[in-house]
Amino acid sequence: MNTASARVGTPAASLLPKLSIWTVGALLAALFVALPLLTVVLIALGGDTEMWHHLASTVLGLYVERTLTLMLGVGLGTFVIGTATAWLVTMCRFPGRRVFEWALLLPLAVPSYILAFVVTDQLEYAGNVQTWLRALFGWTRPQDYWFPEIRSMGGAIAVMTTVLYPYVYLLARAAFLEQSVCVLEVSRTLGHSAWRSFRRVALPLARPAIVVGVMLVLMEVINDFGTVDFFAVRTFTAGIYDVWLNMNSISGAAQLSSVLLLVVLALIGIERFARRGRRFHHTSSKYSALPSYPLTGARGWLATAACALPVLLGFVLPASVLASYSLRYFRATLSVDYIGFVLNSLTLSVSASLLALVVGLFLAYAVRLSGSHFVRSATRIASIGYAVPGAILAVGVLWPTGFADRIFSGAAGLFGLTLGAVMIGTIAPVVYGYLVRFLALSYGTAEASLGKVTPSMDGAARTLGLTPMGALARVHYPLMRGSLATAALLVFVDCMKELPLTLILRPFNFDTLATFVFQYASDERLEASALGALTIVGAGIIPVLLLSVTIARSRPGASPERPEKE
Amino acid sequence: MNGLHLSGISHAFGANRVLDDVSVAVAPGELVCLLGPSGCGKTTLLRLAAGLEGLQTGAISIDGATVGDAAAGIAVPPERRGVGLMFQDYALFPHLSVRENIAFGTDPRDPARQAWIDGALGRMGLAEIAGMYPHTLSGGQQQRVALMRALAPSPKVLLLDEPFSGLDVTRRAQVRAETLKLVKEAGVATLMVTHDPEEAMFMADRILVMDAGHVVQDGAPTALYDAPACAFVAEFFGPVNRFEGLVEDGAVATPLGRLATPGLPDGAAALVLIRPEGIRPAAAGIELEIETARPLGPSSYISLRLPGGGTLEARFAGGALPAAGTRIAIEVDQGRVYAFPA
Amino acid sequence: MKRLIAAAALAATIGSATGTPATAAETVNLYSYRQPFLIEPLLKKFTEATGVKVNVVFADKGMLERIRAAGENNRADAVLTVDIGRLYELKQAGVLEPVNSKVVEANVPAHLRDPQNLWIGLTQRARIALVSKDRVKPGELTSYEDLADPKFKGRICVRSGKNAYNVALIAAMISHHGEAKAREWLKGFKANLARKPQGNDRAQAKAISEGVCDIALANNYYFGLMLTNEKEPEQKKWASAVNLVYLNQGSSQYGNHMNVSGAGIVKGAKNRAAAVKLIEFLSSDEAQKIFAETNFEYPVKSTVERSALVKSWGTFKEDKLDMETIAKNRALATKLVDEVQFDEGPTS
Repeated sequence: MNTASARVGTPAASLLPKLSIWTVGALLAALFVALPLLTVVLIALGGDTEMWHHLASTVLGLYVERTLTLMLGVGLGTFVIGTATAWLVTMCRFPGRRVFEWALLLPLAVPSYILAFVVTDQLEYAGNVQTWLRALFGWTRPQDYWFPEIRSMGGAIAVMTTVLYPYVYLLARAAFLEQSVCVLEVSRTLGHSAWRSFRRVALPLARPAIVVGVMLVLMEVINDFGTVDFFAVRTFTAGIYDVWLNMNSISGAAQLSSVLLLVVLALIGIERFARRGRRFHHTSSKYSALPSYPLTGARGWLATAACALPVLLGFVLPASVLASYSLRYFRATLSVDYIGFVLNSLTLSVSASLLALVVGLFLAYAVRLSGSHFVRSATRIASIGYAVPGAILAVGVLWPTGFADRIFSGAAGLFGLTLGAVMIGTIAPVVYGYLVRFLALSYGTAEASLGKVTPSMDGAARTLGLTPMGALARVHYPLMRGSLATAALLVFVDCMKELPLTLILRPFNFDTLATFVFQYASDERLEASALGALTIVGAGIIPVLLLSVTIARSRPGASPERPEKE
Repeated sequence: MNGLHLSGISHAFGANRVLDDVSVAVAPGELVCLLGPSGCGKTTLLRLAAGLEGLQTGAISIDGATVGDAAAGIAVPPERRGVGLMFQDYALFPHLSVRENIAFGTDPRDPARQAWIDGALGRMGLAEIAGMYPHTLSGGQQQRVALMRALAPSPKVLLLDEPFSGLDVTRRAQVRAETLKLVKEAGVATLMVTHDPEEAMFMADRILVMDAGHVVQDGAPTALYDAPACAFVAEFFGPVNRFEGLVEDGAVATPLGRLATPGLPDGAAALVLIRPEGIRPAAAGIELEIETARPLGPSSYISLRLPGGGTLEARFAGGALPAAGTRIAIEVDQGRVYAFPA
Repeated sequence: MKRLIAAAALAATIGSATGTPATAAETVNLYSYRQPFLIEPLLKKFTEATGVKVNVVFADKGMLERIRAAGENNRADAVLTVDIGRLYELKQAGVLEPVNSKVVEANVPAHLRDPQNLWIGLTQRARIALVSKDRVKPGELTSYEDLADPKFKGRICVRSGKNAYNVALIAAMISHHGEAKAREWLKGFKANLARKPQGNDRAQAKAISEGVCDIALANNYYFGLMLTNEKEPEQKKWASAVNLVYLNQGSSQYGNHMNVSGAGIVKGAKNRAAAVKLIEFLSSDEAQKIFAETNFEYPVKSTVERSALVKSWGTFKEDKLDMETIAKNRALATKLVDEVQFDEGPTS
């Protein structure tokens, strides 16, 4: 069989993306999702740069400093709280641990602007805490005593940390659960204490997951406006809205937003660079029951307190305050179409989370199939919509949908039909906006979870007669179901809370719980819509609880994946 | 042209050339081993045959039908090639039971295949664990499930990637025999990849030795052992004593006397290799001092001190173990001496 | 009731089936920068009076971009805003068309509408001072200029300088005094702040009642809304701690700064007739009375009286500064806020 003449292969050919349906599909899907972001960049390029001179010479430095301080504070806070609580409930035994496993996720369901309102309401001069202190010590005026200013950077960091740490907790806990006990035991036998083993083995192994969690938190911090505005902390985002609404320059606002995008890309790049060459696979095929270091006596109660505090502040406090308001303003809420708002919120959130799931899974799988760096980068860029302030992203959504509308109505015009807008003014742009904004959650989860299915399983499925789609349906999907449910639930909870996109893109006479709450909250009269806020929180609890069950079940041992070789 | 034919295959990952104009043919019922050290491109060749890797240069046919041709742009996807591939890590589906794993590639409405599966489960001693999940199985059981899963759809070609590397040594011999039996019964063209020459010799009808992307020798197991085509093959199949020198009158001078170097011109630098079993005790001949002597059961391991320094390894069949420190006369079996250009 | 709906549905079906023009209710699509709970009673009255159904989207930003992006497929017929800034922005963007209604022209004085009737003012609001009853003597504070007087150091509260109402006020200061003097004034104002600008206008009254500061700026109607707030009685407490002071009332002074809420018709509106009807209604006696009575704003229609409560605060001299002059200076005003770092509060 030495008849075939030697042909010299061109190595470069294998580096180009292969033009399979999957590659093309992935690029199209990535483009679809990236369209609003590209629009923002285009709008930015269309404007002049005059406002930069003004900002640079006045408040830009302050904005940047504030934003960085906020990112540092919230990033550090969520890292410490999220990782520490995850480690405690996963590896230690102490009073209340089983409850905290799921309770620690609850603050995820509380929108940060609502917690901000409630905390301020309690801690400001007229709030319960200071009133009580004054009664206790006989003070009568604010000048009589010192009390920390709530509407400050510190307040903003505290509130955002409290509602955002569950992202880190969620991912850190999943990572700790996946770790093989063997590596920890090896570390102990090599003379490391439990604490050092955590620091030198468990933490580095969980690093990618924790970093993903902290990145999500940072993107939330970057795009937030409502909370920082409430706390009178003027960040970069405040500058964006200022340029847009007071200087009437959407292009200037788009330029500032594009800078945020660059910052996020840089963050992602730095993280990738720091991780280069290292691989974090499942550390063993052998899993035994987790050790559960018993924490007894004072140490046990200390652990209980450490886990209880974030839950109390991030969930119990806002939920009970909202509940008491709801009772007082019950009638006012019921006089509006409250049930309709609930249904609208559910419709949007359910359809957006399903869509985000499908698109996220498709993109992650296509990236895996094509193995092309280009496709991978394209999808990664497509999923950074999370970092753009919602209202700016809404503008980015409006232009492509308006363009599509014109194409549709133009086409209908050829047949003598009058179509009008089929997209703008329907819920389609809202769902589209949610998809763009929250794809990072579903894509990231799908990608991470696919990474745990060894490539030889793909090969086994293919040689046993399945098409790529068949393999996805019969092998990957069943293996990833738990993680995918997690992704869908995260998106769902976030959609329920979403405000700026909904406000701008929604149809006529259409309110969600969040927009209903906002019209009062924007007037600092949250009490009047407390039942709506409470419902947002309530609707978030159910998926959060489901989520916790899914994670507890996700511990391998039920799925013996082997370390990859060669 | 039945069976599997790979012709003129070259492949590179970036700048790294892993296969260079490799051609392999496997007839139906034949078991061919690709033998070589890690990283020599064997696994890539298997993946190319299965269609899991895009073909860069060359052509592949199965039972006469072209399934891949880089020049013609033909690339039949893996699911339509009719190949069974058993992975080194088995790649059992953790969410499916043993029975479900094996039946994965078969048509559930095909009673003949389902009956085959049930029969095979019984024969392989897997009937009791048919409902269990992979992570509860022993390594040997997982190996059998993976093999049966690959065979269940009755593929035209079976590809085995290091099928025994996941097993401990004591189990290996038994599983190897079982596997060989099963594969031979199936009468399928089988291409197996291994880095273990003993395994290759046990399993294979024919062995292709690969080195750095090239096939360096293709032949029956005994031919490879007895008549290696190059020093690489000779050394790969077992320990050798090495001597170097210049060819003079068709032979090289060594501490063991002049050894013939057939086919090498005078004046050429030559490498002479002697297998340990090529050194035999003799009534008369070169006398060497015994440095160590150790029993190996049916044979003994002897190391001898060479006059100019260095040692000579020998393996003596049976008999009494000579004492270390004594001198012994030896002779060289010319049939176990291989000479190659250095 | 059910039978009635069924009958109506049947009628509608027959109507459309037979091809005769359906007597379906006329509609008008409205983009509103005003919170729905403020305008719902008005729109209800409008529908009752005219049979025109009003569809609303409320958002605090982004409506201009929505109109622009939709292009010829835009469905909004009218826009409702709370200050001159948004109205002027819409006009400048070229998305408005003249209202052209004799009724509106009769109802709204010329200085409260655009020369081409691209925007129509519907109510006026005054940016007034709220001062502590106990700690500020009558006549102690009389003008906006006083806010920069060092004697008020550490005694003033205000919401963010970037808030639309404050931006309009600063823009007016620029119009009256020029950029340089306005900057100096803003610097002095900032130096007098008791705390970092925060909260909304109501929160400033609250701060005075708590003793945090003595003087605050607010829109007049907030004072009225707080005084009459039965649902949240604590707001009545805040309001009862302060007096309302109209500023710059001296004979040589230009009067209290005013802003307008208003409306416009979107270019190419598909329901133009209904949109005109809506604006006519909003400028009518009935609607103007509702604005005056329920939200304590100043009606633009001269024949409609102010609410009794507003009247009890006395009459005052309005700053007659042209609205568009204010709007044009908004960007510059915003820059001044940045330059003096107003929002950083007194310490920086």
